Amino acid sequence: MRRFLKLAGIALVFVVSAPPQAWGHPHHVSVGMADWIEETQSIEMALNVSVIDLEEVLSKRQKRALELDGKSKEIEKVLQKYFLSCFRIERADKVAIVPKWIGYEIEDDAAWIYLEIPFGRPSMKGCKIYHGVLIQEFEEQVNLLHVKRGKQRKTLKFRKRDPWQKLPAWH
Amino acid sequence: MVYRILSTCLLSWLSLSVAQAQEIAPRYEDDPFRQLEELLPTPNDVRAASGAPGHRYWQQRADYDIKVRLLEDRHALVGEETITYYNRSPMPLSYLWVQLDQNRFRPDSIDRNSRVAPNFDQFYYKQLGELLIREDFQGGHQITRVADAEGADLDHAIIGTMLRIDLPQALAPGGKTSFQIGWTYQIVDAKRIRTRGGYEYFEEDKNTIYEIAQWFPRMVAYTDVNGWQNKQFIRRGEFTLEFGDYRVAITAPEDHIVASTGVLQNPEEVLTEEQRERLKKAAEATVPQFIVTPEEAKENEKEKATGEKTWVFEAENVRDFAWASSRKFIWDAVKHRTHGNDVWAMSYFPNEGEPLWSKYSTHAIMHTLDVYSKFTFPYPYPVAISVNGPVGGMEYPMICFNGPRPEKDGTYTKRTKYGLITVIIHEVGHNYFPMIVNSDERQWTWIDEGINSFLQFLAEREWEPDYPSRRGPARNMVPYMVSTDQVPIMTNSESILQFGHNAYGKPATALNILRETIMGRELFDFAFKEFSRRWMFKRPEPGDFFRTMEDASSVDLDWFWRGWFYTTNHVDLAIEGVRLLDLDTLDPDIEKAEDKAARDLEPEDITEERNSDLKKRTERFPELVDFYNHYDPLDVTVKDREEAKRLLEALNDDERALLKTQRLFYAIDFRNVGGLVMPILLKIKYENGSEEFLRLPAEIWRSNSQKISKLILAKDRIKSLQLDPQWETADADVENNHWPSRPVKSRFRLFKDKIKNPMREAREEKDKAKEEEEPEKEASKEDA
Repeated sequence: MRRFLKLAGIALVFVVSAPPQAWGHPHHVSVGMADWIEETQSIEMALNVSVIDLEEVLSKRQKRALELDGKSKEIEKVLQKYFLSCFRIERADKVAIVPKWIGYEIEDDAAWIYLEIPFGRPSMKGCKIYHGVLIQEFEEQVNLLHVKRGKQRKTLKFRKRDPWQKLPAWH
Repeated sequence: MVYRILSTCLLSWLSLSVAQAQEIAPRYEDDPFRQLEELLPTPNDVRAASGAPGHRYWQQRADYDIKVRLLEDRHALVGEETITYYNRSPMPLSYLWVQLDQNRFRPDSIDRNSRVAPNFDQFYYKQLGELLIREDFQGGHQITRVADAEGADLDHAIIGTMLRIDLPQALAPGGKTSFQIGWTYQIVDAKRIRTRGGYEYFEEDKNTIYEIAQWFPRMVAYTDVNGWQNKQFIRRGEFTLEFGDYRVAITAPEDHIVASTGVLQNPEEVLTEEQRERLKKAAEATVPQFIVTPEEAKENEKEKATGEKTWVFEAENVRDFAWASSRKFIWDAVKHRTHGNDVWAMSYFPNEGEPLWSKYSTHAIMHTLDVYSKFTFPYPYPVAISVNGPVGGMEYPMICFNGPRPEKDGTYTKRTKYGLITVIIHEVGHNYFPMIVNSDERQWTWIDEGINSFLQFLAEREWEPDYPSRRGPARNMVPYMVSTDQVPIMTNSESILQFGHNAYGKPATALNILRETIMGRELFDFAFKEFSRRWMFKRPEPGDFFRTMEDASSVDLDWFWRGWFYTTNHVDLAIEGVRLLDLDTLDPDIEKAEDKAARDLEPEDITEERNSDLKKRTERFPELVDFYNHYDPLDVTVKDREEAKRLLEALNDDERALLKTQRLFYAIDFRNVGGLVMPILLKIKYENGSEEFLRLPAEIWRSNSQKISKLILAKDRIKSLQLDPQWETADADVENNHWPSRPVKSRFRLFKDKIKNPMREAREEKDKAKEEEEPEKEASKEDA
């Protein structure tokens, strides 16, 4: 018990009152498209994340009300920091790959986040990816990633209990 | 004979692009058009085959007379009620069930004990706080008395969130009985425990807002489909109840303002003369008037009265009753005439809700009544209220609780503004579904939440152009529809995965597609209104909705209900290939010349080409050449001409005329990749520049739900085809919607292009400068 509390203590964050949403439950689902690009040996990724969820989480982290307006450079930095911390990519040879931040935009209630993952190898074989967007904050968060290479397609599903997934070994 | 020829050899095929996929013969159980009767309950005299209430339709009735006292210092309620229960069922009832919803907050509730562990990697104070509170909180209905009308104790038992009353003698069909229940309970701190009703304490001025709901022991629904509603209240599945009349006397601190279901019976005892005068003015006004002003509310917060006042409300034909109370309330009101009825539209909110609430809340109520009444029935109640307090959004008859507030400095984001209007439309809209059309949300969340989200979308679109609607537009639903982690819409409330998408978004989208694309507005609106009116003040089941929509439109929609409500398939139609078919002229001089021309276009054999310099044996020994070295089967012979003449003579005049048809026969192959059958919406562009838009009904898939071809008789060559050009159907993959196939740029690439486009950037800069100028202009206009 003591260990648990101590452990929890590190991560205890100040309280923001999140309104209950009896009328319209939050999405808690993000959907991403990840396209393998032959020429650059990289994945181009576009993630669709709920703005309401993102604002709630980032406001907690920033300890102030944050609005994603799709324009401000300052907000972009906050997003960049958050999203780069949400991904871990490991190549077959155990080399960690750092995604490249491309940008973001807001469309209705969705934030679109653009990242590029350079593999420097002709295939994703043996690569693993950790997709932790909002999974620490929302119990039911599910992150779907539709991976595509040519005509080959596969959907990866990331949840709190299985946040690491293998990328397909396509050629 | 002639017909055989026509069908076998008059058409010669010119394949433009055919991707041959493996054929899967559809099996019977995969037929998306099979009738829904095998799933729906058999119609009977309570529920008719048409989807209307049957000629022996019945439902129970419960009237309530309640006295309740709010104890502000202890955040507690003490109540006494007399329930009069009418048994209109054909069955005798030896026991009655009563709902005790507050028992969800007992330390031993199913809700609390069935929760799974939170995540400890990142654990918030709020979560810890809620856990600890739930650990110690002695919530739940404390039942102090259960007695008959004469005051004699009745045997009873409490099982979770239900109370069973054992009647000394069974209540016969057609009979009625009265009994009394006394109770008390600790009100939940709604800022710390997620709840649909509770209190919010304001540290700064030491005042409290109470939103009181699911607060009195309420009769469990007894129905023709389930008997007694036997699902315990866990958390999500809200409720269904019986209609009846209420008289409720609420005793609250003297300086509180009480907002409630029903009509106030004793204004002269609880309101000041000035407030009553203002109400009179508001009855004649067209825009909201303050009954309690922000300044008065602020003043009222400063001191606490010691006395009490009793507010008496009466409500007729409602299925529940809720109220709110605080000395912090500002109150605005207007008597709104809508579809022939006068309705008090009123809002109650603290100064913390300003300036947002006085600007939008009551307007949003009026707007909701106008739009919803248009699509269903005129709002039948005399009051519609929106209250601001701790609850994010929750509906009860005539009253609802809505959470959004501006920042402390009075500014607010765009999202807060539209969040507020949206939630008020949604919760006021719930008056229609499920407060009046009384579906059972403990069983089926979608039937009220989905229908309400659909109407909410219609109301949003009538609020202002480009309203930021979240649910309704078809393409917004695509990511959810392709996800694997889902269950069909027809799933019990407590077992739903991805609740918001499943029970709100997807059914709202489905109904919108039904209206805009499949039935058309006129037919849909007629049938939908019919459903609303048939089931006003009654309790429909999902099947009654499905059946009425078909009965009133004369359209068999079983395929649509089956696909959208009973499966998790998604929409993805694809153009697989286009074949151009030529009509055989029967004239060998034309046909063989064409064949020769086609042969000339074939590429030269590689060996032949590389051997071209090689001296061949027949060239060295010309005597080896004979008839066959010169024979070409594509040369026209006398015999060919005679045969053609014979065939032509065998044709009659009509058939000979048909031979001269100047049409191109295109066979377009479609594949159903996603599984849901949907209409084929096809835009055709011709080489002559003209365009055509075809809407082929979903029934085109009835012979084969995976792959079909459509014949187009074209007058000109087709240049391009596009499926679903207006994104009406939630088609998941638009890349396979084009012929000739066209790579659709990924979002990523479009974004990269966009950020690389200096012209657009310049234009956006210009727009921004213009935008910044305009508010100033507006401001100066106001000054003038």
